[in-house]
Amino acid sequence: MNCKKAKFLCSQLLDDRLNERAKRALLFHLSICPECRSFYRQVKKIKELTSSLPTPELSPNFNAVVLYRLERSKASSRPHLIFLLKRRLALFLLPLVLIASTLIFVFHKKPDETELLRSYRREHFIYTLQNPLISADSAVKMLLISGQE
Amino acid sequence: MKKDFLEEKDEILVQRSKNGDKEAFDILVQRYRASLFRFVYHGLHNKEDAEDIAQEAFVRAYLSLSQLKDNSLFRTWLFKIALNLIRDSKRVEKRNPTVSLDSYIEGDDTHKESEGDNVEALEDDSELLVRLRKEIASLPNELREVIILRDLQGFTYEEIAKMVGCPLGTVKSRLFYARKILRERLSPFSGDEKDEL
Repeated sequence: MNCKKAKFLCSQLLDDRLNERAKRALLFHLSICPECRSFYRQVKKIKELTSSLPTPELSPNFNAVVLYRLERSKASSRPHLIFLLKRRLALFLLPLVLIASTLIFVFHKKPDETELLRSYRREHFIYTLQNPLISADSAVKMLLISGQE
Repeated sequence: MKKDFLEEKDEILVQRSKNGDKEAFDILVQRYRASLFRFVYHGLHNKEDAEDIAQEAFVRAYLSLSQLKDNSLFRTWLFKIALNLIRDSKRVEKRNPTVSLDSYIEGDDTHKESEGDNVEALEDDSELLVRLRKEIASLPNELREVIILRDLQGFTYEEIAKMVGCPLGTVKSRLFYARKILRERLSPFSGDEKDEL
């Protein structure tokens, strides 16, 4: 074990995170390496000092303030309930509307293409008959040609 | 009724709180307020801000109790909420830096009174403790978080990994680097000691 690894493992030794094998290897290294031993000693002291860092006293009304803030946050959220309900209703209805419109679109009877074409030809024939520039014979011929197409 | 609650486990108190029992939640606040405040204070180093954030953490915890699936993890979950609030506070402070009227003056002991903290507690600090607190405050955020959670609060590596949102290996690395930096900065003040292995 080199010093770099030993120092890294010292941190875990402090927190009792090493398995037995690693612990034995590290302790052996520390027994023969004064630099790493000094490192371990110093980080151990820092850990002990950190755990004993003083903290100021809490305000005596801490709990009361927490309860007050709870009540206040609940009161301020009440007007939103109606909004939340409407939103939930909208979210519930939206998929139903989408499904309904999809079904209508899918199952709506499309006009038959052939029927459409016949209707167009009929209208076109009537138009050509009414057109004074086109003779009746030509109109019939045009109808027959369009039918073949 | 309240005396029975005082000795109840967290799981039971949390379940009662979920059912709307404010007395049970009050017990939880009483149980964790000191350690939570301690955690937040050493993250922010301002008593008023720390109390504000600790109170806000309890409020948010209560309002979102239904999201807590495992009641036994209340403590970890509460501290995670507080950690996120500390991070938000730091982010806001970074964007809008402010200078306190009682700001700390380098090398001047009068800062102890001007910070508005408990003067009695601070007067007993050795110079090393004072420097340690200052050095922890100057650590990068990700290193400070893990050192406070581990050495000050005693969370396990696994709990810390969940709270800060990083792998276990990263927690180990961050702890090592935090301790290494603190050791380098404090070694002129630590003095000699006999080996303690």
